[in-house]
Amino acid sequence: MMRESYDVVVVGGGPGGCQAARTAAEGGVSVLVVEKDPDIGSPVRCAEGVSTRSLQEFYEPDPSFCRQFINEFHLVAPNGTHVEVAGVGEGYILDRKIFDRRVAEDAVRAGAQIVTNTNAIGARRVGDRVAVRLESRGEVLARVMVGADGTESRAGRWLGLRTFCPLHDMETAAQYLVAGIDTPPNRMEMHFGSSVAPGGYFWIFPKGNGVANVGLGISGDHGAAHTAFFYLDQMLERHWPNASILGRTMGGVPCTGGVKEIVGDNVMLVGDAAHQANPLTGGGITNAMKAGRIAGRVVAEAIRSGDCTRRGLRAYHDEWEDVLGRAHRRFHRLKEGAFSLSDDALNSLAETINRLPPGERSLSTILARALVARPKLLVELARLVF
Amino acid sequence: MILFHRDTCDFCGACVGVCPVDAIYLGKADLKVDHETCINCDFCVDVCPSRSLSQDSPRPRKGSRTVPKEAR
Repeated sequence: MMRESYDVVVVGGGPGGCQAARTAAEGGVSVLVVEKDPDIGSPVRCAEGVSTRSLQEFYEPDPSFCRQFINEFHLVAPNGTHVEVAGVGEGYILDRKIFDRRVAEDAVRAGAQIVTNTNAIGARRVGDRVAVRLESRGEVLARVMVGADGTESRAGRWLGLRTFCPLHDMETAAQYLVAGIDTPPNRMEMHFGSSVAPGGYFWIFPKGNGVANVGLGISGDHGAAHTAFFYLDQMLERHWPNASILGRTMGGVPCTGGVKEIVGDNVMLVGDAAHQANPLTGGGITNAMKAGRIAGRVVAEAIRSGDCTRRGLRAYHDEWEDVLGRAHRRFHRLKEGAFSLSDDALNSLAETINRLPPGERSLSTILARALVARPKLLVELARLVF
Repeated sequence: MILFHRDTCDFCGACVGVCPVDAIYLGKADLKVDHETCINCDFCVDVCPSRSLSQDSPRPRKGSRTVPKEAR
C-alpha cells in the first residue's frame, strides 16, 4: 500500500532514480519511487554500453546483466576508414531489462518502496512540502521530490526549474536490435559523417551471438530533412541488407552541457532529466547512477537536518559539479567542435591517425588532432585530460 | 496546428524534452498537445524519430519562429 506521505518521492524508476532511492533509504529516510511503465527496465531506450570502471563503482560485472565484454573500440570515418582507438579501457554491453531491475531490487532491499504503472502528472508546493499528483491515484506528499523522469522530464518544470533542451542539442535516435551480423563480438564501433548521421554518430554495440544494438543519433537540427530511421535504414541496407531486425526502439538524448539548476526548493533532478549523459557520446547510465548516489546522500542529510530548501539541497549541485558537471561543459564544447568537422576533414584525420603507431592512437590524441585549428577547444581538451 | 499520429508513436518523449513551452503531455501510451499553449515552433516535429507529429500549416520562415530566447 502506498502511504500518504514520504520523506522523498522519486519520479522515474530507471537506474538514476533507483540509485537515488537506494542511497536515500540507506540514509534512513522514507522513499517512494513512482514508475510510469508497468515494468521496471522496459521498454529499453538505450544502446546499453558502459565502461567497466564506471560499472564497478556500483556492481561487479555479472553475467546476468552483462551481455557482452568489449575491449576494442573503432572510430570510422565517412569514407569507411577504421581507426582502432588505443587506451580506452574495456566495457560491457548490458541487458538493461535485467540491470535496471537489479538496481530497483537493491533500492527495495535498502528500504525504498516502488510502485509501477503510476504516472506522475504534476507537482505543487504545499507549505514546506511537495504534493506530487499521480494519474488516477490522487496526490502523495514529499519533503523532497527527485525528478529522474528522463528525456521527457517535466518534474523540474512543475517546480520552476528550466529543463528545456535546445533542438540542436537533442540527439534524435533510432536503434534496431539486429541478428545475423558478422561484426566482431568484442568491438564497439562509432561511424561519423554527414550522410551517415549528421550531428551525431552511427553505432554498433555487439551483444554476442551475432546480435547487436545498431543505431544512430542525429542532431535535432537535422531532423526536419530526414528522420533518424531514414539514416539507420540506409546504413543497414549498406552493411547488412539480409540481417534480421528483432527489435526497434527510439528516443531523444539531451546532449547539452547540463541543466543549470538541478536543485530547487524541495526538488532535485537526476539523469537525463538533468541532461547528465555525456554530451559527446550520449552515454548516461552510470552518470545517472553517480548523480543519483550523490542526490540520495544529500537528500537524506537535508531531511535529517530539516532544511529541504534549495540551500539545504545545494550540496548535490556542488558535488555533481566536482565529479562531472564541469567536465560536462567541456565535453559539450568539444562536441560542438568535433561535430562541425567536414567529411573531408574527418577522412584525412583518420588517415593521419592511422600513420601513428597503434599505441599512440588514443582518444585524446585523436581529439587533439581533430581540433588543431581550434586552439580554445584544445585548451578545454587539455583540462579534461590532465 | 500540431497533429498527432498515434499509430506510429513509440511514446519516447523526445518531443517533450524540446518543447520550449511545456505544451506536451505524455502518459502511458498516450500523448496530447495543448494547442492553447503551443507556439507552433515545430521542434517536436523535427525531433520525432518516427514522424508521429506533424504540422498542418506551412512551415514558418526561418527566423520567424516566435520561441523563447533560450530555444534558439
